[in-house]
Amino acid sequence: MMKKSYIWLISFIVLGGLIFGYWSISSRAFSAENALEASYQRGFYNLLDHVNNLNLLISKTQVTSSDEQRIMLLTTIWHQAEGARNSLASLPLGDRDMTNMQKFFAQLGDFSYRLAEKLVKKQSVSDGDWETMNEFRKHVQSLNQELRRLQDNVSAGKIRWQDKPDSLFSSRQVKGVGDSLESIDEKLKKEAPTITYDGPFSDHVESPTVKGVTGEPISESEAVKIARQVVAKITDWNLNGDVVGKTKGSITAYTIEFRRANGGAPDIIMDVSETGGHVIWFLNTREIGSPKVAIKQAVDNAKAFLESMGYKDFEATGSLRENNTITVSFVPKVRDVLLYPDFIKVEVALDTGEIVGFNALAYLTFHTERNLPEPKITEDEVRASLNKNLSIDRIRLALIPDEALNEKLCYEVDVKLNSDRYFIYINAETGIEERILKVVETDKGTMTM
Amino acid sequence: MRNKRIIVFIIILLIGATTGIVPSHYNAQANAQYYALASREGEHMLLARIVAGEAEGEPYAGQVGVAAVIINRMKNPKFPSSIPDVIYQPGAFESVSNGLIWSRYPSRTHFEAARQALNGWDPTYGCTFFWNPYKPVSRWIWSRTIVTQIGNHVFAK
Repeated sequence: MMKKSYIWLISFIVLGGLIFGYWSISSRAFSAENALEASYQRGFYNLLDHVNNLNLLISKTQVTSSDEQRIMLLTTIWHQAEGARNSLASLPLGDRDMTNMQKFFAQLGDFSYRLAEKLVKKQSVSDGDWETMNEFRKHVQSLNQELRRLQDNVSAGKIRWQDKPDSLFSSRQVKGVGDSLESIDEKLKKEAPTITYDGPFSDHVESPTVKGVTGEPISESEAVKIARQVVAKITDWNLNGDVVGKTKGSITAYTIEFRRANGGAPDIIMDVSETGGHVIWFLNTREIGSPKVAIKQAVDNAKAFLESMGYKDFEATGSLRENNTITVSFVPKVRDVLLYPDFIKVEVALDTGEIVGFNALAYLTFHTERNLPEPKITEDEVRASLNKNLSIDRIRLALIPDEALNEKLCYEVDVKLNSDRYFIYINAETGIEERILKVVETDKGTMTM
Repeated sequence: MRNKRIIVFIIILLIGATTGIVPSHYNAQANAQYYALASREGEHMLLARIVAGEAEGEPYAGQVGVAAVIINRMKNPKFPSSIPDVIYQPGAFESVSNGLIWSRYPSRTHFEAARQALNGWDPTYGCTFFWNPYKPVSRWIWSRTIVTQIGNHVFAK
């Protein structure tokens, strides 16, 4: 009798414990789930709001006759489009293709910003630009309608972003909203305009035409031969090189790996272009010991290596020291003009001074025989035009790319204000101030931002 | 006696507090120069973590590739515009959904791969997708243009 009640008591406690455990876990999961659901709902309502505002704002740009008003509207469109972009990215749609809608908002915002910029600079806005804006308006309008339809279901509580039944272990979103948004994305993919304009999100920026890769196609064994000659310059180790694959990126390349005789992970990885056999990049993955080589020596080694690769008349423009290596950026100097788009990076190990990294992708993409314009403005005119508080250390000519990959011939003016150093870029043809970079000197090297 | 003890305690506390404040104030000024590197270090850490979460056991070039994909997404209008926004986009990366990004601490190699991607090395030539072709993935992802395969990952635009 005594024993039996003892068993009852224990099983009662165990059962109670289990129930309490389940209750506390599920209630915690439940509140976490609600918090997540709330943040998704917030994202969705914000998206609706931004698209509605975009619809309104674009139509107003078509009605106004004042440029000042138009500038205000266009910059607000930029702001709202960025908001739409962020809201869309906050929704749990990671396993679906939402890239076209993302791109649509990004381009609409960026395009509006560029139009506002043109108006501010009193440049002419072409009919084509306004026609593009009208295209955007049509898509925003239909997007707005489709999102409204979704909203009715969402606010009626028919749609949640996460599955309800097996809520404890699953966060798969309900098919309805995801499917609808995906079909909107699909539609944009087919119908949204391909636009080329002067901004970083223009369609031409994503895949620039490769200009620097010249020559005849080479075979696998020729590629290995070229790679082997480079490897001989950068290490004493005896390595075997093999082509492991062909990469079909912006430049088609043979990927070559070098290993020690006993196999294992590759020590050096290198891409050599199929056309012309240019070394695009390589990395030596060896572990690097504590620094023993002086920085100046390392930079000299990098320069000497660059020259041995046939890249002459380059100037070191910046360096970054990290861990036990230093990465030096070089740009070509042609007729006293620095060509910033065509940079090459060389990484030097500070334990032995060996070259452990090389990257000429930018050079091979952008380098070409250019017809550089003659500067229409003199150095003295640049000096006279600058802020009087600045002390000027140096002026030289440089070709710089803007965000839309347009190249501009500028005077690079190295100035100081108090103890801070800046680079100011003045367009050598128009005298317009194109860009300001702040130079930050740290113990790790010189950075510009 | 007790009051005395409290006073001594307060004095010690004050000294401790002020010595703490003064040097940190000077540090703040000195650190102003290091903003560029500080924000870069944050990105570096996050990138190394995603490399550890997504590309553990992959060849080195594959690890640089995964970090490069994150950077390429950041520059691309089809994706969010900062490294954290790209990494934490809901459902975008498996290791964020299943928590691996927090449970695995990145190794020296992961940090190296992330650093080299930040410095501009990109074995994928601008790819914005990668996936393991031996595992089930959404069907639309296969419609992407494949650039290369490194280890167990296919890289595509």
